[in-house]
Amino acid sequence: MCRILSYLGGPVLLDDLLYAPDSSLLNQTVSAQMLAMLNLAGFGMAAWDPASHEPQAPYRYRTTQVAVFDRNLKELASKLRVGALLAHIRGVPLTSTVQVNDQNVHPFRFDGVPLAMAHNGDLAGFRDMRFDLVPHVRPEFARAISGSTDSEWIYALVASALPDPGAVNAPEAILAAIRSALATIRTVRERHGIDRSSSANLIFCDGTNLVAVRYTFDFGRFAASQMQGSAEFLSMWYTFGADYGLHDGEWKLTGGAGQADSILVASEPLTRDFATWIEVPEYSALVVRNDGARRFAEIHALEV
Amino acid sequence: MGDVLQESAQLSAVPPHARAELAAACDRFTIRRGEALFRQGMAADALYIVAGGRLEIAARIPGDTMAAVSLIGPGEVVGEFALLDDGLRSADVVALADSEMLRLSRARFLALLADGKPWTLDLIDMLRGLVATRTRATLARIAATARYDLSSLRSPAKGGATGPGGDAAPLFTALGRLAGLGDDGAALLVAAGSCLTVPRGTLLAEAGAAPDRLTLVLRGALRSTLPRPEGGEQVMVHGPGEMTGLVGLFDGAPQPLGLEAAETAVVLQVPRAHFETLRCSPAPHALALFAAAGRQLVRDQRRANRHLGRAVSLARFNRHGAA
Repeated sequence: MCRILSYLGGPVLLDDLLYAPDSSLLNQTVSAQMLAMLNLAGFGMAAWDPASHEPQAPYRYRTTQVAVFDRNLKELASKLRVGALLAHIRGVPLTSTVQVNDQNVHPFRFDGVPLAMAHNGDLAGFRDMRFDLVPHVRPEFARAISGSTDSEWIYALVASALPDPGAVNAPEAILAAIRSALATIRTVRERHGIDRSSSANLIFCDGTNLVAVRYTFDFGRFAASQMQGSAEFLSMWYTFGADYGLHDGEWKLTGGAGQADSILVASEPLTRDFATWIEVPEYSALVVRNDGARRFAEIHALEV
Repeated sequence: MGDVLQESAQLSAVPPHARAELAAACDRFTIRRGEALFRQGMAADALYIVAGGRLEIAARIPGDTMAAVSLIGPGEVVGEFALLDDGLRSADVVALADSEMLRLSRARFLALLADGKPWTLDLIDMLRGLVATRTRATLARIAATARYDLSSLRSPAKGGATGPGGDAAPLFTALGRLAGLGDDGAALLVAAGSCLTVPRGTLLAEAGAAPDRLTLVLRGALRSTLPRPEGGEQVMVHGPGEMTGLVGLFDGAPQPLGLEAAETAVVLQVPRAHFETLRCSPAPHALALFAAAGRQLVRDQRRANRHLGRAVSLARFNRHGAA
């Protein structure tokens, strides 16, 4: 499994998002609150800095190091202020059959495609079903797949279903592409007789819009010998406010929901005290859109 | 202070002699106006009963603002989750006036329960009923609010053909939430119920249905929904090892939510008559089942509160700057 963090709002120091809170993303490398697993197989991020050259293009960083030991990331985080962020730490089974390499580090973002994606979960039987996904992936994206993860294929399916993958798409179009990709995966799973619980918690961000998906195929279906991680719906939480920072000894978004314009979405709250965090509902997407003047957030049912 | 317990409407289901023993087991103290009894997110280590005074229950929501939940006064119980599960406090409780309080610590209660004091069983059954009542009230608040995104509603589930679920007993072995039942307890429960396979999208019960059965999820998932004119509003999803139908079973009123299969599910349905038999039984598997029911009630109340908090906070977020 993995952990994801995404942010959209007023510029904040990257260090305050990645390192400072008591259950920050990097602390979740070894001590996640809601996952009994280590996340040691790499760190990656796409970070949009509104003050940077070509602000619509994110700064990208990826490493297969355990990021808590990465001095370069720490130095960068102390300088970069971001208005949007999609960051991910990768957790994999502790076995030599897993490929830990640059190509498998999230978030995924093909050249020329503004939309980036990170995944928490795994698709059971993926090695059997992936070749059936090829007809649903545009040839240029099929050629761009360079890693071995199910996640990159999910991303390729979504990117292929976008009306204009090279542009910043409207949230409705992103959501429609996600539905299309999930429906394709469901169909292929059925064709292969795969009915084991498989999580697809996904966060998409293009620097303007954010779509957070909490979804599991065949949730709760597993053999007794394979129950690990299958009896609980993988978590995803969000919070919003006007001002992200250290308030009363706690890192949080304050200022009241009525004055809010910044939103944090993560696999789990960034603080031990999660009173101001709320879960994204199961089988749903949280869509954060920007109409040019301000942001709106909506919950969409995902029935595919 | 003992009179307050004898006159408490919330404690009316507890026999008078049991209320006297409860009063004797509690510590007494005064909380001053403006002081917090406890804060959201703190470890829950005790149940409290208001002997005199007035307190406010409020929860923090996104944006770090408070949403009032309710006011409580003499004879009312607060912090009862502490005796039912081991989660954190779900709200702030602050005194609005100098208040006299009774405190029953979790450690003391569990020791008395282990000693087999009969009143502890009366009390914990009452507390489960109280949580069911609170959940029904929260669901009524959710139903009364028009704060929901049309996009979040789902097409109504349809009636579908359920089939036999096969041998349910082996499916219990992987369910941590019901581990206390043991193999023998699981077998007894299976013998008293009906095991069904329910295809994805099948309606199991309409909102307002009679509370005539307990439904245990063994595999797959069920969804509890609130009917809206435009579709179903998902309030909870129940995975393996979870129970549904507890609110109606504990308070006797029609079920507040509809129930459908979110995934193809294998469920065990236990008739209400057997549920009531177990509710009064000191048998180990009955005690284990009802301990799990208490945890489930708390879990569902937390989910209902979270659902309400989500609706309130999203509405505030989206109103920002609007005319």
